[in-house]
Amino acid sequence: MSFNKNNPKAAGGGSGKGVKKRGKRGGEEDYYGRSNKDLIKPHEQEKLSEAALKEEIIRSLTAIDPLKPKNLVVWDYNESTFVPYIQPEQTVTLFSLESELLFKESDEIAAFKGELIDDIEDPEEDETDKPDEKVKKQKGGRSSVDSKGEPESAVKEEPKPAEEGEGEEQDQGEDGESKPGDKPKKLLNQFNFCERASQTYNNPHRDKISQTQPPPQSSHKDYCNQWIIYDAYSKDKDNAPKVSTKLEPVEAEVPGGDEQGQENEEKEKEKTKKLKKEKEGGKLVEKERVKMRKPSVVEGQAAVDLALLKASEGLRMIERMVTQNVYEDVLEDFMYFEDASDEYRDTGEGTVLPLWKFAYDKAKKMHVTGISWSNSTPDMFAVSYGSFSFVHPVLDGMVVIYSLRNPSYPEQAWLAPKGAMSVDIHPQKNCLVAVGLYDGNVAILNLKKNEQNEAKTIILRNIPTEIKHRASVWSVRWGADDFDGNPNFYSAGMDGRIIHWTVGIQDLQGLGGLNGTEVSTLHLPLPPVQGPDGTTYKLFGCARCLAFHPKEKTTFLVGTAEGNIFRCSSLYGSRFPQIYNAHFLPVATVQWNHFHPEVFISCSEDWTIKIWDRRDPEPMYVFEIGLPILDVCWAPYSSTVFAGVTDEGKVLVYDLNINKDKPICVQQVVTKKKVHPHRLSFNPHYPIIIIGDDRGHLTTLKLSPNLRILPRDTRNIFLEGEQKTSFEINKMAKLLSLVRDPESITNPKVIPGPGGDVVTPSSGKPVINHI
Amino acid sequence: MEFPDIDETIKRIQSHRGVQGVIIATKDGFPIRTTMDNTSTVLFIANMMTLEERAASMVRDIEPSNALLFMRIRSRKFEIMASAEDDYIVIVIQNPNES
Repeated sequence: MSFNKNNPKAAGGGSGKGVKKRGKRGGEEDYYGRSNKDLIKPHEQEKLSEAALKEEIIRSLTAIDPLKPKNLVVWDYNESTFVPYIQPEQTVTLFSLESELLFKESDEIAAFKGELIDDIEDPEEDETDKPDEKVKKQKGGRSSVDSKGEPESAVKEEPKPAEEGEGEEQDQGEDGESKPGDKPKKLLNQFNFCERASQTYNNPHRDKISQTQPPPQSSHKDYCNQWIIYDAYSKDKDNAPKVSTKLEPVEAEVPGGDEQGQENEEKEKEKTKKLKKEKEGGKLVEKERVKMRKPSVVEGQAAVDLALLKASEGLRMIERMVTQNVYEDVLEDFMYFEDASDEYRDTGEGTVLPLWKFAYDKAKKMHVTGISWSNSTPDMFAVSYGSFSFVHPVLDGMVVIYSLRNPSYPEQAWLAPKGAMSVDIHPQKNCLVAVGLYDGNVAILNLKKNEQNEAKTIILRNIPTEIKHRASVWSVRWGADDFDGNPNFYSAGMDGRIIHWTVGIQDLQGLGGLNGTEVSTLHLPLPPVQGPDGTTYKLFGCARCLAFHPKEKTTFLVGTAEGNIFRCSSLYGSRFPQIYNAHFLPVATVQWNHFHPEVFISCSEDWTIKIWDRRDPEPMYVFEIGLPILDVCWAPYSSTVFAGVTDEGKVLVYDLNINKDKPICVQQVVTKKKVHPHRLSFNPHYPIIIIGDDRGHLTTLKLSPNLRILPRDTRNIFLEGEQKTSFEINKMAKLLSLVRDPESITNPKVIPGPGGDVVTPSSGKPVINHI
Repeated sequence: MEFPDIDETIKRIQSHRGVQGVIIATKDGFPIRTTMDNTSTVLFIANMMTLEERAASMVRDIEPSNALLFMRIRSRKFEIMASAEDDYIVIVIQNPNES
């Protein structure tokens, strides 16, 4: 498309759109040369009628400034309201210049009271001379010319050139009028006015800046927490006890509503004291607070050592957590498993579920000679390792403390020089363990760490030269605390003596510290025997086991290797209230019933378990097992339940309330013939029993519900406390009365054993044979 | 200084079923005993320390007289047990599902 101005026709043709017709200027064209015909009406334009199109609309031009706001208001401080602001005129000031020139005929001159300078003064001339006036005139004229030029150049619109001449004439007129000698009134003449200004040299500005070294800055980020504040206060409190006493009379208002809350009431008081101190102490306190959260400034190897030292405790706990994971299923069984099939057994039988096995590799070949649970922490138990075979050379023994929480490794272990034969944990202070040793010595272990020992166990041993057992100590038992609250225990040894030990002064070598007093010697009720050199020699029984009455602190039972049971008192030693001819073979265990004060149980290698009432020289119940019974134990939760372990590896649980004849549980717990279980013990808290064998292993078993039936009252709630005790006592008493009353039994009950043995009792008591 | 019992304990823990690693480190994060390779050790220490700090801060923030004892985090593949005090941190990683 090309624009061809000269020849519109040439450019025409197909591209006629871009070319504009050059018509004559007239009504058809607007200013830009566009013809009206080409105008395109927008489609939204209003369509007016012909009459409306011809209507003339008047537009006027006024001097009123349309942009000027009409309703201006201004705040009047006097009246404290908005008042309308009226502007005087509708003029727009284009230029204004401040000057001292006044128009002569203006109102302002009339109002002007001061002296008006008529002529512009030439500063070099004298004012008062007459002839000077002429000169002045001339000069005034001149100056008026000057002034003409200047004001004209300065002012554009205001002064009118026609008035120039008028001003001059007036000047002369006034000059003529004034009398000579008078001080001429000088009017300010806007045309004669001469401003003299000069400009000094403006020094060029130069920027000169200097910058100092910025002060060293470091950014410090920190966070604030409730415990950070707490730590700071605790440390401050520990460090400055003096300051707080000084500031006690200060009763500053406690800044209320902190995040500390009610728990730190005293802390708030101290806070005010500390605020004072802080103002005094200033930076020191702040520095301390920052240091608080860097607990140790130990570096390098020392840090490593410290970490390792402290880490051992945490590591121990973590090991327990790991074993918890490993033995998760066993733990769940221990806590929650109850054998449901017990409900369906008619005969009230139960089972025992094996849980963990405890073993210590250093104690692998030793026999378990004693087990003792701790009463206060029912997951802890002590095991003594030694040897029951006196023929073989005696190996070293150990006392090992285990916890149910860590079945894989013992908590502590102590090497006993020649074998430990028995162990007992103090019923209240479970850090004290009494040990009876093979060589006749006794020892107390203290399981707690304290400042005196690094190796975690203090042992107090008896001084061998003073009072001591001459043979191995078979049993140790803690007695009641004496009057001073000191712990004391009794030991029974093969030499037939019962010795009472108390803690005394320890000598420097770590020996001693135990003072023993002999309580009694178990003289057998046999006539004295002739010695080789003619002296008579009283025979004594070798004590095998010791049992203290749970309620009467001075009564205890001792079972001997001759099969006798001595009931003794710690108050007097030589005479015994009762000697029971209990068994034919050594008495392995004797134990008082936990509830009934008269009843105790004994077991022996002569295949029998006997239950006695202490008032009676004959046993109440006799159970013929047919196998050597190595240990028997009353259940802590019932007066009629007891368990025994046979040489064969079976555990027997009896509940006399349910079945007086047969055990309600017989179960093989260790492999037959290879391993012999020697010790059995009930956990005082949990329904588990532990059995120790001669391979150094301990097996824990959980009792099924039938074996541990607890009494319920009429509302079907378990009996507790006093009620339970009396219930249990009554239960046992009933059983005893059954036995004692001969009228209730027509014939002595004799149940033949498997081998056809018939044993007729000499008295009216039943004898029950078992397989 | 020798710490034979600690080394023995570590060996014992490591021998349990499913245990993948035992790490003991100082409070600065410098490992002093570890049964894992260096990369994993550093990784575990770095992560556990920040988490433990956070957890300890939370416990104390709720009640300032309280203190964090142990932490246990069980995930699909393993369980981390950590114990930390002022001077040390002990971390054990175990896979409890391993047979």
